[in-house]
Amino acid sequence: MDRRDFLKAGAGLVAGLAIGAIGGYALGSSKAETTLQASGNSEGAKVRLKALWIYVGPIGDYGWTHSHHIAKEKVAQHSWVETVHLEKVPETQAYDVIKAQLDQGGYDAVFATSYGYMEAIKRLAPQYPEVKFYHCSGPWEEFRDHPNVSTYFAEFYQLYYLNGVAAGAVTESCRLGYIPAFLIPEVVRHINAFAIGAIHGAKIAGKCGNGSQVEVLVTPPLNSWFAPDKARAAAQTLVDQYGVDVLSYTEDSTATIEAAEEYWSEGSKVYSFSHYSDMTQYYKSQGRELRSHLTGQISDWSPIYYTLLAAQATGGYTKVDIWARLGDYVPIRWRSPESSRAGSPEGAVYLAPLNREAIPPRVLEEIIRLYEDMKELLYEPFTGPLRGYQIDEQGRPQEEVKLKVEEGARLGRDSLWYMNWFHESVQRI
Amino acid sequence: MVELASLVTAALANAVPLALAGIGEALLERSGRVNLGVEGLMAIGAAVGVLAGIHLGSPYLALLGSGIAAAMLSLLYVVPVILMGADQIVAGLALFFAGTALADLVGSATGGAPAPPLDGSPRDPIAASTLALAAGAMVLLYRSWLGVEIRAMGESEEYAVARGLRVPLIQGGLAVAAAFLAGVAGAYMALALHNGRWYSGITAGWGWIALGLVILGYWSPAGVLLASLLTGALLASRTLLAAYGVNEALADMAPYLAVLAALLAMSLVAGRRVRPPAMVWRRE
Repeated sequence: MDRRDFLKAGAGLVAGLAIGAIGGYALGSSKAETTLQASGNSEGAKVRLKALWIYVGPIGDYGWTHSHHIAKEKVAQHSWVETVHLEKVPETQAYDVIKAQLDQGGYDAVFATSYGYMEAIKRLAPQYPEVKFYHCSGPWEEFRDHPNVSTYFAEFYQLYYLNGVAAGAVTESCRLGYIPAFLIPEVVRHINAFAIGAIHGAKIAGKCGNGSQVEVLVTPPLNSWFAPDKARAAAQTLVDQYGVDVLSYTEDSTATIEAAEEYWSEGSKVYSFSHYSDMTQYYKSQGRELRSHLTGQISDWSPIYYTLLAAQATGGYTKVDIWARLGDYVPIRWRSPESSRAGSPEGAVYLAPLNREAIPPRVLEEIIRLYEDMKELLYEPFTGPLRGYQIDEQGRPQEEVKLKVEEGARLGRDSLWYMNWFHESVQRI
Repeated sequence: MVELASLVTAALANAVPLALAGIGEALLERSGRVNLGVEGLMAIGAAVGVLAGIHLGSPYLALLGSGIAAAMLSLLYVVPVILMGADQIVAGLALFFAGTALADLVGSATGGAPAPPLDGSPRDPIAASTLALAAGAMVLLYRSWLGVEIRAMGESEEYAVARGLRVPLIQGGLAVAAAFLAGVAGAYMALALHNGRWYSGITAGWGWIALGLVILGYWSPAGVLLASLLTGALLASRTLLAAYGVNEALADMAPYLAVLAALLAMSLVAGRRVRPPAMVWRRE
């Protein structure tokens, strides 16, 4: 390299660094403004609490993070709590990000809203014994030795079962699809609940050989909670290549239901569901029509957040594990069918609005009946006999189909939390 | 079993942004310059496209707006590199970082609201325009005096300067035009492939893929178009490959592996008559 080239390269380096620095500065300073927002005030209040929320995704995902943020905003209306949130915090950087916040001082509570923040919380909890940590999803066994870590989760398997009932009643091809982010026990349990619900729905509707021909096809895991591009491709593969006409999913964006909606514009009926946030409301607010929506699973985290913070604020903190299902955080649990609130907000987990045009009336009645019964655990989806087969983390079979839940038996918390088998109607494509 | 028609439709939709960005970059590289910032330009295009779509109501105006935004951003590359002689690799990377960061800023302003989406099917006028663009770029390169000038400065800048060719003007113009196309490509990804909704990281590394496609298409617009179709098909069939027993990680890698394999095959097959612009890729 001669001197001239060297100088050129040097000038390039300086120019590049300058541009990068300006870009980085613009990003850095604006990030501080846009993602670190404090709300609430403490004027006139005797007790005062400052709580930090850590989100894994963007607030605008209209899924998981959005639902946590809405709940946080609701809690922030109370004058005794001051809230701060950080969005899009990668799980690998959670430790440093949370520590930097805590070192600024004044925090009483931290809500870590992703499973992957577990390691960070385990390291931070002993360092900040005066701060209470709340880890979303748990399991609580992981935090056995940390007195200042509580766990909480809004459980959906009952709602996935009801989604399945609706799906089994509307499918023409008897083939239903499921797009999983990961095949961890939580998602496997939701897939199975969806499948056995679909069989029940088809039976009530008198379809698909009274349910015996229902197939649930599961795509390979996306390996990311937020992967709209992959979810969309998976949805198209299920519909185009496998003739699936109802798409269920566990992915934090709206990609799957939007893919289903596109098929309506092309003249084929493909149904899907709301996931964590009500998509009918969202479409309405955009002035658009949503035809593909059957129902769905929605969570309202605010009663959980309120209860946890209120206990802490009044000096009544106790280490807890909250596993909110249907019937939790509601004033009245079982309601008669006429006064049922199925399909509207109720408690910590509830059904998205029911599509009364697509779902036949008989099946609609059944969904409402089961929804009410499940609140009191009078009906439990995972009741035997259920046959299935053990799978690996990619969903591939590891054994022949055999009896997994005996006739009349009902699965308890541990069997549900560590589920590693697929129902016999479920297949990994 | 495989429903070919729908696979082709999905492949075409994927190919459009890849071809738009790739053809622009191919023209620039024929003139002897490389801009590694394509991904950043696509990112800003996607963000501006959605924001403009929300406010203007027309997806085509949104595409235009994102092209203009990306073209303006590309001045961060054009001014230091072409006018001041700075290192193009460093400036390209800086453009990538600046573009993705700025895109997060602009995109956050959409607040999750969707812009009016594009169809994304082969009937979409943008798909036809992409074909026309490839044809036009072929004519420009091989059937016009400007094309001769472009190719000449790609082979030897000293010669081009000695002949009195307007090297900075043409290279700068191509860089801005390529950025315009990359911006449109990014907006197309958001408006056609994601129903008009923006999210952080929406371009998913496709700008880098487009850079690879320039090489795979052997610096020819027609070649880039073919390479885009191939890669678009592979991107669309990731789930299907996994379903047919290919390991999931391998299926995800398939588009990239195919590009590598094709590059290898081409460097074995291609004779001395076909070779990259000397200013971009010296082999001797």
